[in-house]
Order: sequence, then structure tokens, then C-alpha cells
Amino acid sequence: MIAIEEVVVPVVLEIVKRKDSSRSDLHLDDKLVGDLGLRSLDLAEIVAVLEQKTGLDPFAELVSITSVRTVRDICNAYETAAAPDADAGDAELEAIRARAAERR
Amino acid sequence: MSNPSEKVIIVSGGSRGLGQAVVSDLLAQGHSVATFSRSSSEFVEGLANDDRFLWKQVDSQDSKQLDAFVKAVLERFGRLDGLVNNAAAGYDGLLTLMRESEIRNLLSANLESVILLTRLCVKAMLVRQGGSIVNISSVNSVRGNAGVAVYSATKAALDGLTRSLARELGAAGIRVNSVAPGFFESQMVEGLSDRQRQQIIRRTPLGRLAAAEDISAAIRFLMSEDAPFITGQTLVVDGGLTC
Repeated sequence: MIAIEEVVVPVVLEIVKRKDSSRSDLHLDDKLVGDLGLRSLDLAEIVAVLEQKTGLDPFAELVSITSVRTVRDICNAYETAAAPDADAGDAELEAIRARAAERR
Repeated sequence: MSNPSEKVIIVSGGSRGLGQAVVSDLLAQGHSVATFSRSSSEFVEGLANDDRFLWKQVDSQDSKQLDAFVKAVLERFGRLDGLVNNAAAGYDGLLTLMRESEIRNLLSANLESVILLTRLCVKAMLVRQGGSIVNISSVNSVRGNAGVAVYSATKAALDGLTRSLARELGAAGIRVNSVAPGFFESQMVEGLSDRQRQQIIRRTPLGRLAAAEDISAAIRFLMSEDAPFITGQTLVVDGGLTC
């Protein structure tokens, strides 16, 4: 199974490179705004492209977009949406997120 | 689709009336057009074998159906360049005499559905970093008229949507404009008496009601490469009625 990072990172990097052609890589803990210079419209583009690639939009209901600060946060959001029990109740969602955090 | 000027455009409510005129006009320009409505019509059935045309039965107040429609368009044509938010409900009456259900239906059909469809389409446009959206407003959004308070509120809201979305999406190369038609020959003016029609014509500097083609020409312009620097505007097409 392809890791979520392998889908998310190239999409983010492509948009970052469009804004800063000297940039060749990024790190999961890079801050989207502070480190990568992304604006909210760039984030909207990332979400739209990832929805086309994965069929998922975690920000439609599951995850608040305002909670996303880093590249890793984006990966976690898609991990949450891709989980088989992604439509579970809030408590279960918290448990899923906690498990994802433990894996980090 | 070898010619880059040929676009893929969604027109909501394109089975009859103004929507039909817009669909015909855009097809005649060489574009591919996808449309939906609650029920079929002779017009859409006549285009069933046209490779550049897609019609689906959709209730615009059902977000799941809207989602499935946009997915079907992307599957069929592979991209989306334009959206004409035309579908609308139009019954009128003094506000105090309207049923609550009628008010809610107007708000849902003319505003909520438009916002949800736009949201879906903007995602596809963001992926391509370009597109054009035309919201069909009304002269009632710029001039008050008795008996259409709720309808006017929904259309004025669309103009607000147009301006804010234009600011939101400009950096992604997506233009957003409104076209505000005056009174034109359609089902919506069938209920007018001869005296009311003549009164409108007398007050219109160009001396006639609009034809649907007058409106579709303005939409064609805003969709086209001839309007690359126009966004966030409301183009009133009323023969001068409100000038």
C-alpha cells in the first residue's frame, strides 16, 4: 500500500516549486505558511488536486482546515479520511488521530 | 479537444428557457457543454447523440446528485473550464403572503444550490489554475420591485458571491462575473399582462423586451478569451431599463 506521504508530498512540492523554483525538497514538519510561503488558495489547490488523486476530501466534514499547519498535518488528515472507520463518531476519530500520532 | 479555445462548460438548468439558449450558443461556439435539469425536454433529447453534449436528470437541491453530476462531467470530458449558474426558481408574491416553504425553496434553489455547485466546480478549476464562472443574476438585484423580495434577495446575494469569489480566486486565474438580465421573453414573463409588458417596454430605452439570445451573447462574451481582464463585475443586460 502506498503511504499517504508519497501522494501528498509531491503535490505540495509541485505547488511550492511553482512559487519558488529554487526549492527542491520539503520536510514533513515544514510549516505551510511560515516555511513554504503557501497561502490559503494554494492549500485549496492542494486539496483539489489530492481529491482528484485519492477521491478523498477530509476537509469537507472530518477535519477542520484551520487545524492544518504543516505538511504532516495534511498527511494525517488524509490518513484519517482513508481509515476504514473514517465516518465513526468523534471519540473514535480522536482515537484514530492518537494512533497516528503514536506512529510518529 | 485540439483547439485550446474550445472549453468544457457546465450550464445548470439548460433544458429550456434561457439555459437552452445558453447551451445552444456555447455549442455553436465549438465548446463542450454539460447541463442538468429536473426533467428532460425535447431540446436535450434532440442533442442526445452529440458527443460534445451531456445532460443528466439532477435535482439541484440534492448535493449528492450535484456531486455525482460534476464527477460524470469530469469523467466524460476530462476537465472543466466554465460554469454558468443559470438554474433558478422564480415564483413571486408579496412577502407576507408567501408560504414559509416557498421562501425556503427559493433560498435553497437560487442560492444554496448555486454555492454548492460552484464549490464543486471551483475545485476542478483550481486543478487547472483557470476558469470562468458566470452567475445569472437579475435586474431585481439592482432595482427594487414589489412581489419579488425573496427572489431579489437571492439574486443580490449571487452578486455578492460573485464579487467575493472573484477576489478569492483571481490569483488562480479563475474569473467570476454576474449577468443581470432584464425582462426577456421566457416563462418568467408569461404571467405579465399586456399592460405590464407595454409599461416595461415604454421604460426601456431600447424599446423592447430582451430575447434570450441577447442574454446568452453577454454570457458568451464573459466566458470567452475576449474578457480576460474582467472579473467581479455584474453586467446588466436590460436594454437600459435600470440606467
